Amino acid sequence: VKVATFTEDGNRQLVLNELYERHALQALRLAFVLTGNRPVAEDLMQEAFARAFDRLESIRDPEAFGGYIRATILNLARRRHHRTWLERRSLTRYAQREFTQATDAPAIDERDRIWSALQNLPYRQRAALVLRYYEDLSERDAADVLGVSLAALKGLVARGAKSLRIDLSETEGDEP
Amino acid sequence: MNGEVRLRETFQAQTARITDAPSLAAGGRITPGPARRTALAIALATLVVLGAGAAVARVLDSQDSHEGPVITLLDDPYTLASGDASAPWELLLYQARVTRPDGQDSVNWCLDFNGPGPSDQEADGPYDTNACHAVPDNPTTFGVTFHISMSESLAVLFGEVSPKVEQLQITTADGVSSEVDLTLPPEGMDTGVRYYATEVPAGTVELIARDANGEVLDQTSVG
Repeated sequence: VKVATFTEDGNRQLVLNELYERHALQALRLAFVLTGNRPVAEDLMQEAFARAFDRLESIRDPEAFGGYIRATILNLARRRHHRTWLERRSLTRYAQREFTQATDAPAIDERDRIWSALQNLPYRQRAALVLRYYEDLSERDAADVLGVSLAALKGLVARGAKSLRIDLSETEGDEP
Repeated sequence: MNGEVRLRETFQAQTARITDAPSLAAGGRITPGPARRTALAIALATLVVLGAGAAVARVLDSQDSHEGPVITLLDDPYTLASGDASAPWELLLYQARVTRPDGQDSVNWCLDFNGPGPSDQEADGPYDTNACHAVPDNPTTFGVTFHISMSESLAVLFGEVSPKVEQLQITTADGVSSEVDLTLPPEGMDTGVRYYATEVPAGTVELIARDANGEVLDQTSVG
């Protein structure tokens, strides 16, 4: 995808279509693992693309488009998380209690409980786990995307894992 | 099976259910869906528009109200400061168009503080202040000043001071004095004031602003 060439040629629609087809599914899945809600994820994804399309001419490196979308979705998800915190608070307590009481359940149920508990983590802990174990970013890259230090990223991952009651001790994320 | 594998499997199992994304509308236009409209409605309720130098309010308590100004971000927020002492927090600066219910609108600068309450899971609720205000041509020494409790023992202090202020000294409740760094936003976001943000022990904090010669311009206390 050569953004500059397409836009200079006036074929903006081709660029938009191609960028959307290339990144939309991945962006939607990222928004979903951050929010746990498909309609909200679609909204965040569309908002991210709307912002990116508005700034298309300023994104000089086509390969940076995916990173821009990722960063925008993280930002939008963070803002949404803060706005809905009160509503989620009671659900948090319920989900965590249920998760803790059923740690010996079969794997399929365990995944559901992990998923449920993930949705109730503080946003930055969840985002750190998503970037490390869903997006497969290195600790340094995940820290950069979140705008935190490497030590802070490790702390977020460690606290997130602790809240989920799962052992990630073989990763560097458990370092203080 | 270790935790990392279980976590990866959880992510994969959930995202595997999503096999397609909504199609892009003709013309590349994307319209806000229900959730975006909801977010906008909440933004209407949570906005606090302040006059220059006015105090700041926590706003999430008023979510039931849908009357209030409409805030439209004109640029991506800039992170003035962030911390992670007792819990992650950040201070954002951005320019926004504020449209009041009577139709009048203006372009203002907004300071958002985002952070959890006294603990991650047992919070009183998020601190999500949203203070938009016009920056005066000749700001008083102290502009908006915030003191937000993060835990029983820790608070975040932040706010604005006029450009005349070169040194900002704080004295915490335990009698310890220190200098606070003053931050200028990046080029293009210069509002004409300087910002500060620091974590402090809980309790009253005395602030003393001095000019380049060390002369006291003003002092105040918060907390």
